[in-house]
Amino acid sequence: MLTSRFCTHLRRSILVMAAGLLTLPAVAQQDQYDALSRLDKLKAAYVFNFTKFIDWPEFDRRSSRKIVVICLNKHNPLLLFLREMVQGQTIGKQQWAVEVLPYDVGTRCDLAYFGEQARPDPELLKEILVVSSDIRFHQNIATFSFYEEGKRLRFEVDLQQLQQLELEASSELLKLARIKR
Amino acid sequence: MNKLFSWYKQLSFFKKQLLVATIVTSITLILASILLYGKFIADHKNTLLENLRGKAQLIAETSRSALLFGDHETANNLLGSLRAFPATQYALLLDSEQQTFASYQRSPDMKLPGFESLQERAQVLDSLLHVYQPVRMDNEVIGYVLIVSESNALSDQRLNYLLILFLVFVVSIAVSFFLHWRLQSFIAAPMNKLVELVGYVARNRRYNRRVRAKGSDELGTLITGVNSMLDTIEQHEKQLHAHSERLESLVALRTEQLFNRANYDALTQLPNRHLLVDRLNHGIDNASRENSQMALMFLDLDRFKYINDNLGHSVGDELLVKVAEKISSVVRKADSVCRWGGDEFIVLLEHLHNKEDIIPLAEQIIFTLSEPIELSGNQLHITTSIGIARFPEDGQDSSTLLRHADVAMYRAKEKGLSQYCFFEHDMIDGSMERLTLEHKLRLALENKSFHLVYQPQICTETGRVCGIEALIRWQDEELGLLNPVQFLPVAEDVGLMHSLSLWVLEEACTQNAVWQEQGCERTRVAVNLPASFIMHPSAVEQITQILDRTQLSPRCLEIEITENTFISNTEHAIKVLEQLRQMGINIAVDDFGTGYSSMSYLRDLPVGTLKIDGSFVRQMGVDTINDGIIQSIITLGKSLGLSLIAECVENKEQATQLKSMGCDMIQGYYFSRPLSADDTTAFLLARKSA
Repeated sequence: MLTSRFCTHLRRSILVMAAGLLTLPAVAQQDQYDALSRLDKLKAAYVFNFTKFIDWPEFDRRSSRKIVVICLNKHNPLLLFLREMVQGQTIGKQQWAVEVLPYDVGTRCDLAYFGEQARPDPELLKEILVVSSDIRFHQNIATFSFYEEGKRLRFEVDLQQLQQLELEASSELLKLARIKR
Repeated sequence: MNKLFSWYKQLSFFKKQLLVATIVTSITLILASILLYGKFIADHKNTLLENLRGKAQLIAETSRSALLFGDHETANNLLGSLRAFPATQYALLLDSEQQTFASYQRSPDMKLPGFESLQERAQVLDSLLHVYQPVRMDNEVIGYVLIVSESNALSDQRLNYLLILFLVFVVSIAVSFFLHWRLQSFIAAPMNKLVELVGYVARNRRYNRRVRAKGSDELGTLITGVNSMLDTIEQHEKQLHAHSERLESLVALRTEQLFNRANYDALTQLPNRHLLVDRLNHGIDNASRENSQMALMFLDLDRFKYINDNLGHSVGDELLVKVAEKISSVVRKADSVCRWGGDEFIVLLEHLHNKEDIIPLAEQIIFTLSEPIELSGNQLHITTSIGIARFPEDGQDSSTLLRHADVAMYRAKEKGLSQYCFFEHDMIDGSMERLTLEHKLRLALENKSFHLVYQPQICTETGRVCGIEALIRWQDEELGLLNPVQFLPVAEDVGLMHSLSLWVLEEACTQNAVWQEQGCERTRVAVNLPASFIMHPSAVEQITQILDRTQLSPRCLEIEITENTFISNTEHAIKVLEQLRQMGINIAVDDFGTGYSSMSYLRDLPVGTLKIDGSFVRQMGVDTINDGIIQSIITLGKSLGLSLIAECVENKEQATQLKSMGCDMIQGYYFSRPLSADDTTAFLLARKSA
């Protein structure tokens, strides 16, 4: 029952959040979005929400921050979906913008989301918060990993990874997460 | 309301002030309590709401991730934490579309309200506190928190506040009342002393107490003013008291004087008629109670009027004083002597046993008063007549006794000089006769009911008529012909004598003038005038006027006076008589030889004729001493160049002897009885022709 209500709610939330982005794009994109599973869309929304509960550092090595960049494999069908989702959205007190970019060498990513089939080079992810779509993969590099529990999407956090990245996550986020041991 | 107002009016100033202060304090406290209560309630309500809002805020802050990640369980757990707050009835966590995401309700039966009913972030609906709080995430509203709490705490707090404020109010009123009472007692103490002082002054009318003024405030000024006022009043009171004492002593003196004036005769210092009546009534009461007798002596001095008129009122007054002393020296100590008025005295005799007890005293009074009294160089002889009325035989009350004693006194006078007379009831008729006589006398004078008769006076040498004496007669329809001896004293007593004398004088002059017109021999008409007429200030003028009116020569008028005319105020009498003689009027001394005055007046007075009293003439040939007196009078008159006339000559022997003694004129029945005017006319004409 709860799952049903949750799903309904989630669907509505996603629809609401994506309404502005999805109503006017091309029919082709709409069709592509429809091809996404509910779970993928939910994971995309979670990824975006993760950025809200992370205390991003003010400066990085390259410049002062005005934007949080989420990177996805360029072949990941969620790339466009997530991009449209964060379009015009800001996070944090500084109201930083969120940008969704294809993951590539040289791309300055703050958060990278990898699907089940992605096999990124760990050396390149040392300063990037990695979110894995499945807990079974990317165990050594992922800070957040999704998993399902009774048809409910949950996530696990690797506090060690988080610490290595010198990032802090909100306790609000942590209380929802399963802490990796 | 009226009772309340009456009760308020009866309160003292202090209590009124205390009441007003307490009422004002109560009103102030009530207003303050209302304001405080409102403030407390508002604050408490705000506190409750803020508290609730804080909870909502906390829930909102901690439920964001649950909302974002769709974690209903966590959200429900968060709301469930409100279970620790019993007042919280239910809580809702709504998503951005205001759909219930999580909820908590204390009672399963509780109906959850719709979110649409909330108009404000914090409000009270249906006695429940409602707070809703948006759940924000990066300025985006991602949901709402609604918490509803019951307001019993507010109601309880209201009761608590009411109780606290009530207790504060009561305690404040009590403290305020106590402080007011003590402070006002302290402040009003001088005022109370002042009020007490005023009450003391009002009650006792004494101004000797003061209140000490301790301050220089208005009350001190008032106390100083009152003290100053009391000083002034006390000083005035002392002055008034002294003045009052002086007045009281003066009033006492005046009262005594008034009492004496009201009850004692100012001249003789004897009780007056007012006091006598009191004593008489008192004596009657005593006599009635003791079954004893008492008597009233009514004394009237004989011939006092002559003395008073002739010697002057001062001599008369001295005489009355002497008489009073003499009477007082004779009576017993228990008896009362009073001056009834004029020459009348009354002696009240009490505790008598019989009639005979009175007689010696009456005789003693008469004897004592008959002794000569030396006054102003004159030796006066005075007698008294006494009327006696006894209680209870002659009257049962004072007025009756006085009236009957007066009646008896007149009867004594009728008996002659120095007489006393007990009252008898048949005297009342005589008294009535006198009253009737007085009344008829007045009417007769008004109606000119008198008439004159004339008795010729014959010259012893020539036998011719040398004069005519006019004698008054009164013919009353009821009383008949009255003798002058009967009515002239009455006329004198009632004050008609002067008018009667004027009438006689004018009538006689008129008649003499008529005789002369009728051809009768020219002669003098002699008119008797009383001393009172001669002493009248207008006597000469009135006689002159009568002579003018009747056109009678003064030489045809002779005025007969008695020796008593000269007793009083001889100088004035001499002056009047001298004026009359200078007019040509002859002055004759009537009843010569019966008076008491000195003979020296014959030398000084302008008299022309001595008229030997009839009592001597009637005794001629019987008593050699009497004849000697007549001869002496004639010799005296002759030696003084006076003519002499003898009256009451009734027979030839008397006429012959008088002629031989040298008497110039004779008058009497021997020659003619008194004649009417017409008969006198005839007599005169007949004598003329003879």
